[in-house]
Formats: sequence, C-alpha cells, structure tokens
Amino acid sequence: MISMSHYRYFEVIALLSLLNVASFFLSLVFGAIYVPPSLFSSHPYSFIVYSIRLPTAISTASIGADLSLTGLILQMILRNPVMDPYVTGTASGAGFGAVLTYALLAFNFPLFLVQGISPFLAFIFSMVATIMTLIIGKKGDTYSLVIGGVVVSYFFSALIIVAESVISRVTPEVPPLLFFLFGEIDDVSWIETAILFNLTLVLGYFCYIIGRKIDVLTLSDEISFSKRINPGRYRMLIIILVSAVVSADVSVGGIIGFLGIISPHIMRGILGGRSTGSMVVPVSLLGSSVLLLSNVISRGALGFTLPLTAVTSLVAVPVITSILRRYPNVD
Amino acid sequence: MLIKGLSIEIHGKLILSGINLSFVKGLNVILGPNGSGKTTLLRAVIGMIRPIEGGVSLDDEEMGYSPAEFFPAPMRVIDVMRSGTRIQDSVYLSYLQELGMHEYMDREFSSLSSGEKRMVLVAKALAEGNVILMDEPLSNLDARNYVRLVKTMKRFSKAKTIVSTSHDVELGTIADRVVLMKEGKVFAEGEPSSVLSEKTLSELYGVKMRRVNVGERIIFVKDISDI
Repeated sequence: MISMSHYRYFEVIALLSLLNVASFFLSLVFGAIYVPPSLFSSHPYSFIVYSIRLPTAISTASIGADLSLTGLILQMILRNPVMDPYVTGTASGAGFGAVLTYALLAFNFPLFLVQGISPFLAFIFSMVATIMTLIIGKKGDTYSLVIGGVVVSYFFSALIIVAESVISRVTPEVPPLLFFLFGEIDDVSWIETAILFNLTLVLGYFCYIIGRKIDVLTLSDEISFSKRINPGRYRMLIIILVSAVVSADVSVGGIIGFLGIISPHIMRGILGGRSTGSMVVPVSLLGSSVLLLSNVISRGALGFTLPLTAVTSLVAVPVITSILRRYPNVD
Repeated sequence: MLIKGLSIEIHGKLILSGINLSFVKGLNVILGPNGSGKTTLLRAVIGMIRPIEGGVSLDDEEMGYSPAEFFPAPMRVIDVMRSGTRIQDSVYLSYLQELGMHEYMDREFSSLSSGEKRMVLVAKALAEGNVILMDEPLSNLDARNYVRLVKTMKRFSKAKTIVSTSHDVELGTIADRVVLMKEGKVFAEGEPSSVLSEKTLSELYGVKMRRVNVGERIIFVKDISDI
C-alpha cells in the first residue's frame, strides 16, 4: 500500500519534471519573435535567447514556484483551500509599495537604486495588506477571509491606480499600470534572476524543513502548543516570509493572480492530500510550468500579447469552481 | 504534574479560580458541566492560555494532546501522525494498530468519519508523550470504538499520566482518580468510589442522577423518567 503510493508519487514528479523542461524550452522558442532551436546559436538570435529569454524563463519558473508554494502554505496555516498571495491581498499591497518607490525618481534618485529599493517598500506594504485581510477575516469562516482579501486587494489596487497616475505625470519611467495590476514578466536581468532563483530555493527549503510544523498548525493549535510550537508566532513567521518572497516577485513580474490556488489544488487532485513537506517539489514544479506556459501565451505566442493574470485567471476559474463545489462548507 | 493556585481570566471573565491539583500516573478523569472550565484547564497545562495567577509545573515531560475540536487537514493519516514531531513511523503504526486504525495509514484524514478522526488523534497523543491530555475523547464514537478506546486508555494509564475530560460519568467510575469541576473551581476530587455519589453528581450537573448497579459495577445515569 505504502510502496505503491510512493511509486505513484515519484512517477508524478518525473512527469512534472518533463513538463517543466518542455515549458522552459517553449519559453525560449516563443516570444515577440519565433526562434527555432536551430537558430539558438546564430547571431543575432543567440543574444535574444541567452541574454533575454534564458534569464526571463528562469525568473518566470522561480516566480511560478514561489506563488504556488506560498499559496500552499497560506492554505495550510489559514486552514482555507482558496488562499493564495493574490487572494490575501499580499500581492496588491506589494504592488502598491513597488509603485510608490518610483516617486523617488521625482527626487532625482537613479533608476537602478529605485529598482533596488522597490522590493523593500513592497515588503512593508504587503505585510500591511496581509495583516489587514487577516484582521477583517479573523472571526469568520472560509469566505470572510476571501471577502477580506477582496476588499483589501481592491483598496490597494485603487491606491496603485492613484499612485501610478500621480507619479507617471512627474516621471515617465514608472512601469505601466497594466504591469502592476495584471503582471508581466519580460526582459529580466541576470541579477534579478539570481535573486529570485535563490529566494525560491530558500522558500522551498524552508517549507520542506518546517513542513511537519506547518502540518500541525493546520491540524490544531492545542496539539501545536503541546509540542511547544507557538502557532501565533509560526503563523507570523510564515506570513513574513511569504510577504518577502511575494514582494520580490511583484517587483519583477507585477501582480500575478491565482497560481497559488491552481497548482496546490491540481496536485491534491492527482496525489491526494499530503504533508506540506511532500508537496513542496510537485507543487513548485507544476506552478513553474503553468507560469512558463502562461507567459508564452502572454508574450504573444497566439499573435497578440496579454497580461499574465488574464491568462492565469482563465485557468483558475474551473479550478476554483471545483474547489468551492467540492467543499460547500469548508468550515 | 502539579497545578498550583491556577486562576485564568478570559475577556475579563474569571474562568478558573485557584485550582490546586496534582495528576499522577494513571487515568485521571475530569467531569463537570459545559462551561465549567475543563478545556481551559487542559489548555493552561500546554501553555496556550496564560494564567493571571499560579501555574502548572511539568517535569519537562513530553506531552500528547487530543483536542475536542480540530481542522480536517487535507493530508493522509500518516502525515497527521507525523505532524509536529520527529517520531518514527513504526511507533505510530503500533499505536494505530492498538486502536484498530492501522489500515487507515494511507487514507486521507479528511475523508474519515468524525469518530475515526478522533481515534487517529488519540493514537497520535498516546504515541507522543508520558503525559496525555484528552479533551472529550469519547465524543462521536460508536459502541465498538468507545469500548476499544476506553480499554486502550486504561491499559496505557499503567505507564502514563492520562488526564481526560469527559461528559461520560461511566468513564469516571473506572478512573483511578476523578476531579469534578463546577464554575471554574474544583468541586470534589479523589477516588471514584469516594467522590461519585447520587448526591454529588446531582449537585454537580443540577439534574437528578441515579445510581444503578450493573452486576458488580455501579454506574450513574441521568434520571429522565419524569419527562
């Protein structure tokens, strides 16, 4: 019995790895222009493939894994299957912080410095947004957290729009509104790529080593306390980590929605519910594949470009519907 | 385990006042009406609620806890067992076997019935410590699981300190020690034969309780003959 499900587990991971490699390869081939593999090493395509598409694809894979993993652990610690950093307002808060940083351009800060500061301000506002959602949704069921998140997301989206229109009047270098509100991963530098990739490794490692603690937080506060695990402190620690990672992601890719719901839910469908630790690898692999493929579509594989969240939302609708149909009364 | 002068306030309301108790190896059963502070007492022991006065001293013992309410976590039974600890699977397997739950190892926890989930959490608690706190472990159990669980509790109480709250006076009659709680105070405590009587129990619950002899055993039932 146990060995059979193990076999299936590793089989699924092998298939997911293949899917990941395939999606990664597709995102090197497709984009504003089509570059077949035979042209990868010839001028000028080699520059496009190795200096633009390769780091962008690595960043996309990292962001996809991050958003899926943060979704997974938020669902566990908040005991709610429809949580992810988009629904909790964390991403919108981060987006507002990132936009706000561009106001520094008006004070003659150099652009590279602004881009360096942006994740930190994003982090502060992502924490503010997340905590606002938690306070609004505190005393209720599954849906009060969701509604709290919707309210907070709209609030910060409105702030993003206001900030964007004020700041873009002063300085044109601020990224377009659509980038912040709906996400776009394009032309990511190698430095940003290195930071994102390392953050993903840290997040994955962290989820893996404290996986059993996350599991007991999900199960019961009493059992956690009896194991000398303070649930409040651990939840806060996890929310801080989630906000930090999401802030870095939003600073590079804008606000990308629903990946954190899509990927853990599909994995639970395939593997069954499992411990957080054993979900880390499959959820990250699926999340990065879904975002790589979404980004291929987003960047124009169908002949026109689309914001990323437009693509991920289309995938999310059936998934979220199936979750809500499956758990009519989650609490 | 020693509880000394323990007082607890929640939202300005005194829930426990001046509790003095010591629990030793054996089956300790806490009886009392709803809202008498049984769960709060257990929560104070694990440090979940800070007392305004007094405290609990544990000799650095490992604790197991089986809560009255819990979240049906989306994971397998074995993942539930492993959660929060680093105990070997073989240990968990033997405790699940004890309660006849070993075939459920790979089943999804959330798909079990509420009684089965409770049995899993009791097996987890028993596997994880020398001091086992159980909050209403017998609720939602059918007759078969009830008997099985009581047997298991009784057997492990020879080696461990088991403290269990219950609404089931029958569990009190087979305990090594009973504690009756009312309105946040210890109403009576001691050996079941000296503490449990028609008079005390009727006073404790505020309804008429009757003593019944079943063969050699004495049990207490709610008197609903005049309804």
